[in-house]
Amino acid sequence: MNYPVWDVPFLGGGLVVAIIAIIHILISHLAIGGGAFLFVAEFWAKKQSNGNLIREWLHRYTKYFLIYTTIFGAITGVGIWFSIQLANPEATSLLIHQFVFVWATEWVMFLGELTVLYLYFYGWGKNSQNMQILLAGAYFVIAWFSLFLINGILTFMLTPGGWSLTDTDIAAGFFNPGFLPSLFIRTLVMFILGGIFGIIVATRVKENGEFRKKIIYFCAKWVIPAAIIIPFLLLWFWTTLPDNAVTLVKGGTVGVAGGKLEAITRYFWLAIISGGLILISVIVAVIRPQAISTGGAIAIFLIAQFGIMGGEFFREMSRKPFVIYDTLYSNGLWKKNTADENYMKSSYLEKARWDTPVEPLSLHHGETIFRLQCVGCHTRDGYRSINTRTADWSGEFGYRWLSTMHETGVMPPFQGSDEDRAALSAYLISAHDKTTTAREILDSARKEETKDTLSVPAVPAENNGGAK
Amino acid sequence: MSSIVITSLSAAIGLDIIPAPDPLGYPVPAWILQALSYFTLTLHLLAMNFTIGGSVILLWSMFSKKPDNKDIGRFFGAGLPLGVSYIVTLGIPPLLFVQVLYGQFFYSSSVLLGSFWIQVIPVLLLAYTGYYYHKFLRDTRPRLQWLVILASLILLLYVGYIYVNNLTLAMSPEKWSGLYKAYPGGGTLHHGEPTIHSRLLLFLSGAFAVAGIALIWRGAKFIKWGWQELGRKSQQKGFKIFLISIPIWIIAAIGVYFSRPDEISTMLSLDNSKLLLGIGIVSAVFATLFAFLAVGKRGLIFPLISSLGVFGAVLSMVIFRDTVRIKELGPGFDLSAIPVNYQWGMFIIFVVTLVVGLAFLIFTFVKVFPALAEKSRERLNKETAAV
Repeated sequence: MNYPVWDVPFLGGGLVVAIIAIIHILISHLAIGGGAFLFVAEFWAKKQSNGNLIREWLHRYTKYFLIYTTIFGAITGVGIWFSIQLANPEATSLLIHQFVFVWATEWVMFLGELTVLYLYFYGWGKNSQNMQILLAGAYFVIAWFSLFLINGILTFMLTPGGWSLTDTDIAAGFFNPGFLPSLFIRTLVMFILGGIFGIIVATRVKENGEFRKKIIYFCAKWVIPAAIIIPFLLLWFWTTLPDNAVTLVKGGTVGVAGGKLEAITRYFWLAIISGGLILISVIVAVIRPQAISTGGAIAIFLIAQFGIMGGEFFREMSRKPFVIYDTLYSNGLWKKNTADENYMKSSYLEKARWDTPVEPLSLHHGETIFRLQCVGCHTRDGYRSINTRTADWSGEFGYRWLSTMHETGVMPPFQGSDEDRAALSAYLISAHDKTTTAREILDSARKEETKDTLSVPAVPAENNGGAK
Repeated sequence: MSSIVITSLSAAIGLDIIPAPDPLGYPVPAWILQALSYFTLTLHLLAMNFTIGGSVILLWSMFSKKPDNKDIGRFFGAGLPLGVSYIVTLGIPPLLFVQVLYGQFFYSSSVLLGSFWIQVIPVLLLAYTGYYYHKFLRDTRPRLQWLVILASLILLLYVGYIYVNNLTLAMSPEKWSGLYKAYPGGGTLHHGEPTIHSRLLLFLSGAFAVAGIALIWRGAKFIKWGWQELGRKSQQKGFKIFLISIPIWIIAAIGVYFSRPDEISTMLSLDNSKLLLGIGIVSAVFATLFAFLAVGKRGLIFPLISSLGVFGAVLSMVIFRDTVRIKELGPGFDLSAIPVNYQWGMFIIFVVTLVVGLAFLIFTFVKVFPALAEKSRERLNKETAAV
């Protein structure tokens, strides 16, 4: 463990990242889809007899859009960066060192989209219509390229493709198997969000019913076709997923939790159901444009937020137990080290830089192991509570389970000596007032092992090949 | 042999805690990353100075009854949200490059201050919202407006304070072990670091200079439109505001010096430091001189030279700061010891995108500027008529 651990009570570092990320992803996708929407709407307004009314509505759209995307979009974007470096500095460092100039190029796009959006908004009423169309188009193209760039890094984390620590070819990692399906899905999600945002603004128009109907029809064209195409792209995305993730989602109701719907499956369905609800709501809005209120339109947007939450949690969980697939586990263990049994079984605290001196086999010993290896994903009694998960454990069970937990497919291998394992198990069960000490767990386990060794039947002489 | 000595020395004073550098190394030679970091950090600091200086002037203008001062307040009130926007955007690349160059130090200190470091996000969000609130609702509830801007200003200063805490702690690995034991949840700041307040003041010392130059540019534009009197007044006010920066800079520099006199003396004795200090002072003198010469003139060349002077002064401070950092992290840290795994292809894509992107932005800005100017002239005409 190279870095100190950010121990966030109740929420856990991972959930802090997730909360910021799902808010940001909704806004950032809207920021790009809204650009395409403005571009097309500018053209549309030019051809319509009541173009001025439409442009008035577009001006309002842009004002809300600008405030929402530049304040919340920009700050939460930086927020993801802040939170990932706290929650997983090792992985962040690898991504930054591998893709620094991809990120720097993406920053040029940020600078461009921000400046062009300001020129578009503040030039309103004075810029020629052609200039406004050019600015809206430029804004969309620049913003979409920012997606193109970040999409390569996001998909790299799940499907690194031909990239490895020994062959760090940037193109192989960037244009990975998940790159294209993800890019298309995200582009369509953006169009959907641009359309929904248009419906929200349309509900604020106090004009006659026909005008509102016209606007809602226009917005619906951004939502309905995209919502119908996305499931097909999801099938394509599905084929790029690691086998482990596919098994987990298909396992669904069985899974490691036994009898419960797997979290990954729940999020998968959340995304699908949200998409379906959005489609139905917008079809209703088209049929009864007068019936939709601002509250109703915002509700559709919130459903989209849940959809984004489902999709992004699904993507994150598909990576389990890795943070960078097949390279770095979520507990800071490099996969390349797992083949070395001595490394894996030697004292963990001797390898960790950020350990504090502990008395061997004490509760403090167990807690230190917990902090260094578990809090990356688990909290004690909040999100992914370790207390809930270990409620039925005995010390001996925990000791044995830790050595095989990687077989579940969602947990990384345990790193450390038998003493580390016993100390962690004793610490975990101590939350349930169980007083078995690490020493007792270790002694009992060793006794069992000795018994097992002794009870292995000796090979009978008559079965011993040529000895007969 | 020397590396063994360094390792054992590091272990003895608790420096074996410093994480190993990232195995991927640097994608281009360190000097390129440093140069990019210096350039973009300077731009970030200038945006920060504009916003901080502009906020103070806006607060002051809200008390004033003079129409000229109200006008200046309106100028900053409209520009401050853009200021925050560019603070954030221009803050991204230096933060990116610092992670590549000094990741093992920066990540460690960030986690050690984790509870405070993450606060930057909601605090910035509130400050930004406050500036937009004022921009779009400035004519309603003046007392509330004043409080909102004051709150936004304090919040921005708090963000700067957290940054200085983090970046100074990143340079002090000998304190990490003790802090981690005392605050395993990251609930501490870099207490006991004597330079924090004066450093923060030093970074903010350009606030009035940048805000003042903004008014000088504005005055030149007014004179060009034939509004001689208004333009001259704006420039005079701008120059007076500019001058406030000088005593602040001197106080901050003295503060930094006396917080660690021995160490700063050693740093200043380095050849590079003398050169940087010289360039910084000459740039600041040029900036002041040309800000003075710009008053009452419609030409843009004097404001431009003055702006470049401020840029040069801040840039030399930024480079000096990095020189100090490398010195403080030595002898166990050497930028040239980190392996370089070249990514020239991606670097060239970045440079080309940057050049094309900036060219496009300049082109569109030049095209759109007359429309923006026309809009602003109409608004000012309307407001002047109303007064």
